Amino acid sequence: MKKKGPKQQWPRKIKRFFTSVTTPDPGFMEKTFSLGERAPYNQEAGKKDKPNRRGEENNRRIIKPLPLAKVRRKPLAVRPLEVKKDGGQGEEKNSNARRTATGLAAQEKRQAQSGQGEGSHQDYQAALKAQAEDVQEEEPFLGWDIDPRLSVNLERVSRVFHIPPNMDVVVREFEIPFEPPLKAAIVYIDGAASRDVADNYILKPLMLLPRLEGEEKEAVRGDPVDLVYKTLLPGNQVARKECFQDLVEAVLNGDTAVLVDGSREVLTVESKAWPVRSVEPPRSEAVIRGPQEAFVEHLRVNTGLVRKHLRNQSLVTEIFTLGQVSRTQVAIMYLQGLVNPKLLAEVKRRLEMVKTDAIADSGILEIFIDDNPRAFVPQILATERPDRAAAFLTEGHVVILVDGSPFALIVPVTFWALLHTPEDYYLRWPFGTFVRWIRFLAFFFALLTPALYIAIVNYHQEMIPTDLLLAIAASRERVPFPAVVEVILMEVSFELIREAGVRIPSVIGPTIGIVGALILGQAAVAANIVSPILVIVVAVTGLASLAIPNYGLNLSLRIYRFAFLVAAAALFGFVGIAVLLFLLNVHTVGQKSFGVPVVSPVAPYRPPSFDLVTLREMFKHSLLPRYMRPRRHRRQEEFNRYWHPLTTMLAKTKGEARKENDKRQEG
Amino acid sequence: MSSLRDGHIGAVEATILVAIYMGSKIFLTFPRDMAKLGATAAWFIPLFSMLVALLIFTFFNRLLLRFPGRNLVQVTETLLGPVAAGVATVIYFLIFFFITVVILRELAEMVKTIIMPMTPISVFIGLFLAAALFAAYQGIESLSRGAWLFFPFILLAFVLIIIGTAPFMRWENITPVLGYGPLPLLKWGLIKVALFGEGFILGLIPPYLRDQKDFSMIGYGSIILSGLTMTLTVFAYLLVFGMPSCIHAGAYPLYQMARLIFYGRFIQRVDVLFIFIWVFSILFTLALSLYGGAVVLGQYFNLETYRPLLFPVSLLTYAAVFLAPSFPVAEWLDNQLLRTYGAVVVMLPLLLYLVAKGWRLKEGGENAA
Repeated sequence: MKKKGPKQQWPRKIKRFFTSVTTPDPGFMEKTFSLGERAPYNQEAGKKDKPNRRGEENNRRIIKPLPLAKVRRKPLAVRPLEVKKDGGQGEEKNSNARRTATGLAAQEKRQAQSGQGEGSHQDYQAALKAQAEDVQEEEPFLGWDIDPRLSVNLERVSRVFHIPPNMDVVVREFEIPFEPPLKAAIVYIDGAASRDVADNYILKPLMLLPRLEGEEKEAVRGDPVDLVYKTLLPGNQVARKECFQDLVEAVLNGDTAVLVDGSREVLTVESKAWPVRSVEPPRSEAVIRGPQEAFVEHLRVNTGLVRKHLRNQSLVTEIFTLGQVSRTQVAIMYLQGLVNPKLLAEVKRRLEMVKTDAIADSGILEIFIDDNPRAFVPQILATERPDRAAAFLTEGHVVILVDGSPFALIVPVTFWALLHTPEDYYLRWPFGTFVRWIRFLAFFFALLTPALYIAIVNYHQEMIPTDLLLAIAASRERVPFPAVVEVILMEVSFELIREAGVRIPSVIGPTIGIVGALILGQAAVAANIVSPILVIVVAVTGLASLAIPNYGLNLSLRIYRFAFLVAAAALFGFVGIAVLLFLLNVHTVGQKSFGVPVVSPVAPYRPPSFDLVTLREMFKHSLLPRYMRPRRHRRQEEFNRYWHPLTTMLAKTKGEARKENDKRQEG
Repeated sequence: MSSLRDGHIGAVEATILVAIYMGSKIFLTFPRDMAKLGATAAWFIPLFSMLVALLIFTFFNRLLLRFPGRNLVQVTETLLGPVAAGVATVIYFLIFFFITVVILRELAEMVKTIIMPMTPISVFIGLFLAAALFAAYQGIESLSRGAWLFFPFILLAFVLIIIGTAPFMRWENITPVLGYGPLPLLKWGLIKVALFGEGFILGLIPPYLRDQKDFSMIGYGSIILSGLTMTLTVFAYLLVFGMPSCIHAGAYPLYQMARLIFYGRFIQRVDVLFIFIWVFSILFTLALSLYGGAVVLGQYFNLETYRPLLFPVSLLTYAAVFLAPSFPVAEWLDNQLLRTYGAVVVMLPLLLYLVAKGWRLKEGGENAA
C-alpha cells in the first residue's frame, strides 16, 4: 500500500479550486444594476469587506477601474467648507485623511516632481512611476461639490486632467473687473471646444462688459456666479452645476467651464466643436429613388437627422453613457405611446448592463446586447439611412445610435426586414414587389447554387437532360480536378477578390476589376483549371450574394454557402443539402431579437402577415405589425382614398364591420 | 411537480408539426402495406382508422382537459400512482423509441437504396440521428415553427406528385370498390389505429399552450390532416399502379410515383428533388420522437430539463437501429409489430379515462365539472 503523502491532497485542492471558480454567486443575476453601480463579484469576499468610503457594503472590486471609470452618482460626501484663514491647509488635511496610502505617496511624488521642475532623467522616471501609481487611485473629490476657492478648484482640475503632462486641457485664469476684481478661470479641451466661443462669447464679455456698465464699479453682492450667469454670459446653453464630476464631464464633452472665485457653482457653456463630417449620401445602402442622406459620426447630427423625418413631440431620445474609459454616448430613440413598454424596458436594461472599457462602434455594442451572439443570422438591423430608422420608429421599433458610428441599430428585427430596402416602398408597388422577389430569389441562389451544382454533377446526373449533361461532361473533360475542388478554388478566389476590393485604395481600384475578370473568367478556363460552366455558377452566386441588402446577412450567407458546399453537397449530395437546410431552419426559427422570434410573423404565425416579400399599395398597409405588440393597432385609416367613388362605396359596405372589429382588437 | 416546458407553441404550428409527425410514414413503406391488407379497397383502412383515432382522441382530450397545463405523464402519475405510472412511462417511452428506430432504419435504407448504394448504412443513420438530435435540443418550440415554415413546400411536393402522376391513373384500378369485403376492412381499420400511435406526443403539448382550448383543435386537426393525407396517398397509389403490381412496385411507393412524373423533355426524372421533402418531414418525425422519449423520461423523474437525456436516448436508438438484420425484418417490425399490436397501446388513454372517471367519483365534487 502506498503511504498517504501530500499527493493525496491534490484532488481536494483541485476540487476546491474548481468550486471556487465555478460556483456562481447566488442572486447575482436577480439583482438589476443601474449605471455606475458595480456588481458584487464574490459574496464571500464581499462579506469580509468593511463598508467603504461611501458606506456601501459588498463593493469589493477585483479590478480597479481607471480614475474616470466612475459614472457620476449623487455626491454622497458633500464636503463642508472649512472656514480657515490659511488657504489650502484645511482642504489638504481633510483630503489627506480620506486618501489611501498609495494616493498619498503618489501625491507626494508628484509634488516633489513638480517642485524640482523639469530636468534629469531620474526625475522623468520618478514622474512616470508616480503617474503609473496614480492610475490606480480614485480621486475622492469627484463626487464633491465645487469648492468656493478658485485655487482649490484649479488644483483639482489639474489633478484630474493630469495637467503637467497633459496638453489638451486649457486653463485660462483671468479677472472680472468688478470692484474688487473677481478671480475667474475657464477650462476647456483644445480641439473639442470652440475657440471662437471661448474668445468671443466668454472671455470678451466677462472681461469687458463690467467695465462698460458705468463709471462706478459696484461691489458684488451675493453669489458672483448669479451675476455672471444672468447678465454677463451671452451663450444660449449655459448650465449651472454644483458637482465637480459635472465639471469634468462637461469639459470632456467639449463644453467650456467657467469657474468663479467664491462660488459653489460652475457654469458650463455649450461650446462643442468636435470635428464632424458633413452629411453625405449613403455608401452601403444606396437607392435611386429616395432621400440621399446618411448618418454621420456625430450623435447629435444623427438624432437631428431622424427627427427631421419625424417632427413629433412623442419622439423621445434618451442618452446613456457606456464604456468606462471611452464614455461613449449612446442614444435610444422611440415613439412614446407607440412602442411596447416591455421592449423599451428590455432595451434599457441590456444597455445598462454593458460594462466595458470602450464602445468603438455600434457593431461592438450590437454583440453586447443581441440575444444570441453565436447565431449567424443578424438579430439587430444596422442601417445608415435616417429615413429607414424613422420608418422603423413609426412601427414601434427602438433605434439605438452610438456616438462615433454612422450606423443606427434597430431592434427588434425580423428576417424579412433584412431582405428589404427602403426603396421598395418608394417605388410603385408592382416594382417594389418585383425587386423584392428578385432579392428573395437571390437569397436562395447565394446559399445553394454551388452546392446544387456539385450535388447534381456528382450524385444526381440523371436529373440533367441528356444534351445538357453531355455539354457539361464535354466542358469538364479537360479539367483535371474533381468538381468540388474546382468550385472551392473559384469560390475562394472570388472571396479574395471581394475582400481585396474592400481594402484596396480607391486610386488603384480599377485594377481589381481587371485582375478579377482575368483570373475568374478567361485565364482559369483557358488553363483548364476550371470548366466554363463553373464560371457561370460562381458568377451567378456572387451576383446573388451582392444583391442581399444587409451586410450581416450577406456575410452569414457567404459562410453558410461553404458549409453547404463542402459538408453537405460534396459528401452526401441532395441528402446532405436537405439535412443542412433542415438544421438551418430549426436553428433559425429558434432565434429571437429582443424577444421577438426572428422569422415572425410567419413562424410563429401571426395573422394577418403582410409586407414580407410581396408589397401591396401603400394605402392598404394600414395595420401595424402585430409581433411588435405596439400600443396602437393601425397606422392609417383602412380606407384612404375617399376622393375615389369606389373607395367610398367600399368604405360604406365594409367600414362599419371593420371599425367594430378594430375596437374589439384594441379593447 | 412542475411540467417540463420551454417556450410556447401556437395552435397552427403544433397542428402542422403533429400532422407531419403522424403522416410522414406515407413516404416509407406504408402505402404498400395498406395495399397488401386491403387490395383495391386499401384506402378505406387509413380512413377508418382515422375515425377510430378521432374517437380515442375524444376521450384523451377529455382526460387532459381535466388537468389543464399538465402533460400526459403527470396525469398518469396523478391517476395511477408512481409505480403504475412508471410502467406507463416505460410504455410511452418505448412507443417513441420504437417509432424512432423503425423510421430511422427505413429512411436510411431508402437513401442507401435509391441514391448512394455504396455508402455503408451506418453513415446515414449517424447523419440523420445527429441532425435529429440537434433539432431535438432546440426544443419543440423551434421544431413546431420549423415545421410550419417548411409545411408549404412539403404540401406542394405532395400535390405535385399527385398531379404529376394523374396521367397514369385509371379508375378501374380501384374496382372492386370494397376489395376483400367490408368485414376485413373494418377489422384492419380497427387494428391499424396503431398508425396514429405517434399521437401520444399530443399528451406532451398542453403545458406549452397559451390557451388550453386549442388542444382539442390541435388533436382533431392533426389527426384529420394526417389521416386524409394517408388515405389520399393510398388512393392515388392504387389508382396509378393497380392491384397486383402495386405490391411489387418497390419498397417506396411514393418514390416510385415520383419517378413516373414526365412532362416533356425537361421535366423528367425529378424524383431526387423529392428527397428534400422526404428528408425534411422524416427528420421532423425523428427529432420529435427523440424529444418525446426524453421528455417522458425527464418528466417521470421530475427533472428540470429533458436535454441531458437526449444523447443517451439517441445512443440507445443508434444501437437499436442495427438490431434488425435486414431491411425486410425492419419492415416486419414496423408493420407486423408496431402498427398491429401497437393498437393495444393506443387504447391506453381509454383505460386512463376510465380510471379518471372512477377517480372523480372518489374525489367528489371538486373536479366534477
